Order: sequence, then structure tokens, then C-alpha cells
Amino acid sequence: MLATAARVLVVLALLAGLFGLFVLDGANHSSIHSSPTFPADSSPDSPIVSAGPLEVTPPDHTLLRGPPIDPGYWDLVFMYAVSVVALCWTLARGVNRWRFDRQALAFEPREHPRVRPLAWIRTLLSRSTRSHPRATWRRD
Amino acid sequence: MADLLTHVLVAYIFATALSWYVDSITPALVTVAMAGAILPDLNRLEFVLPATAVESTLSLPFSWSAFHTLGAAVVVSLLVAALVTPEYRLPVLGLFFLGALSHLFTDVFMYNPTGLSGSYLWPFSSHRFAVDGFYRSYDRWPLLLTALVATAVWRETRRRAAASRPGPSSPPR
Repeated sequence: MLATAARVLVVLALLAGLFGLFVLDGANHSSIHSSPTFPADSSPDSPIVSAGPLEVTPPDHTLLRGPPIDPGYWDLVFMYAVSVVALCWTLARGVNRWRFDRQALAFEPREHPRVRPLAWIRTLLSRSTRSHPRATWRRD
Repeated sequence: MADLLTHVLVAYIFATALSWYVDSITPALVTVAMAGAILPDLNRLEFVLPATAVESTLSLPFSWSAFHTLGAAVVVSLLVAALVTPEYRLPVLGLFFLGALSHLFTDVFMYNPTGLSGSYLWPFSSHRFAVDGFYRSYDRWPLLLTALVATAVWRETRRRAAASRPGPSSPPR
């Protein structure tokens, strides 16, 4: 009981820590997607008046070394479609391989997976072969 | 990000190859590594619940992009480890972190017009790696390559499992 209470406290502390990261990231504007930029009153063509680290600010004048990323419609469809496949695959594996132990209030691996995908596919195939109309016709 | 399936396959490849040498890494734990590879892209929660909406509700600065950092990988790995039974905490911690780390590592090599990666080491460091990058997130070839390698790894795992099984027992006399 004491161990469970301690674990709940740890989980709450970690959730608070994660929330703190979101707030800190929002406060610092240290978004990973922000890009190094020139100050608003300068441009790549203007003479360099001081040598120092480039300022990282929200993108007003983004420094570009290469062509911008410009995905087409089908590029986005591909990217998000396969990403949904990845989510479904991982979720299915998780449900198949893990169970929630209500007494321990924790997840643990199943002793045996709920479904063995290859065996399941083989069973489906053998069933469809047996019930195939052409097979019936041949027997007749 | 590369597409998420590429990241999940990379984690699958690493964790499955590790399982050849570490017997305690079961398919259930390989799944944990795959889940870890999904973590950084949870910054896409921005599409479901925009950070601006959270900011206006809580009156606090907020950004989902922290998911795509080493800091979130550490915290969420500890969180996931706390949710499993004690004997699995350490392997779950290690494999979830491995999955998240593999995602961040492969994203370092993604093409970015600025020539710099994101600051993935945040909040430990704001360093950005100067890498030209050799793939875009919507390229098909990274997925094809990882799918081929993952298939080879899967076949090798099955071969090893078959080889380690005891042979057919001699018929009873």
C-alpha cells in the first residue's frame, strides 16, 4: 500500500515535471522549430558590424542555406498515412503483448500474446481456401 | 521528423537486434522501444489542442514542442517505467529511452534549410548540430530502406528462435 502511494507520488511529480518542460519551452521560445535569424534591422547583404553569436528569435528574417521545404499534397498524404499505420501497429502490439494488473495497479507483459499474427493469418488463409467456391465446384 | 513509421521501424531494428544478445529483451519490450520512438512526435498534439488555447486557458506560456527534446525523453521514460511492475522497470526505462533517442538521433540528419538541426538536447543544452541533412520528412526512400532492414532483422530473429528450439524428440520406445 505504501509502495503504491509512493509510486503515485512519483507519477504525479513526473507529470508535473513534464508540464514544467512545456511551460519552460513556451517561456524561453526555445522551440526546436525556430531558426537562427538576423536581427530585424539587418539582412544577409548588409555589412557585418559586429562578430558574435547569431541571435535566435522568432523567425522574422530566417537564415536559409538551402531551398525551403515544400512538400506537395501527396507527400503530406504519404507522410501522415504511414504515420497512422505506425501508431496502429505499435498500439496493436502493445495491447497484444501487455496487460494491466489491477491488483498491482501496473502494466506487465502477458505470458502469452493474445494473438500470434502469423498463425492467425495462416488460419484465415486455410479457412478461406476450404470455403472457396471453386474448391467446392472441383469436388462436385 | 521522418515519417513516424520509419522512426518506429528504426527502434524495432535496434531493439530486436539487441534481443539477439540480451535474452531478457522480449517482443513485449521491443514494443516499448517502438512506443518510445513515437514520443517526440507527440508535439503534433498541437493540431488537436493548440498551445495558444492552453496558454489562454492557463495564463501560462506553453509549447508542445518540448516533446521533441531530450528532456521530455528522460521524463517520460521515467514515467512509463513507473507504470510497470517492479521487475520490468529498468528494461522498460532503458528501451523506451532508446526508442526516443533513436528518433531524435535520426532527426539530426534530416534536411533543414538553415543547415542546423533543432535543439534536441534541450533543456540540457541548446546546441544545434550543423548538419546539411540528407533526407526530407516526406521522402520515400528512408521508409523503404528501414522496411527492408526490419524484414531482414525479423527473418534473422525467427531463424535464431528456430535454431535454439530443441530438435524433435526421439520416439518413445
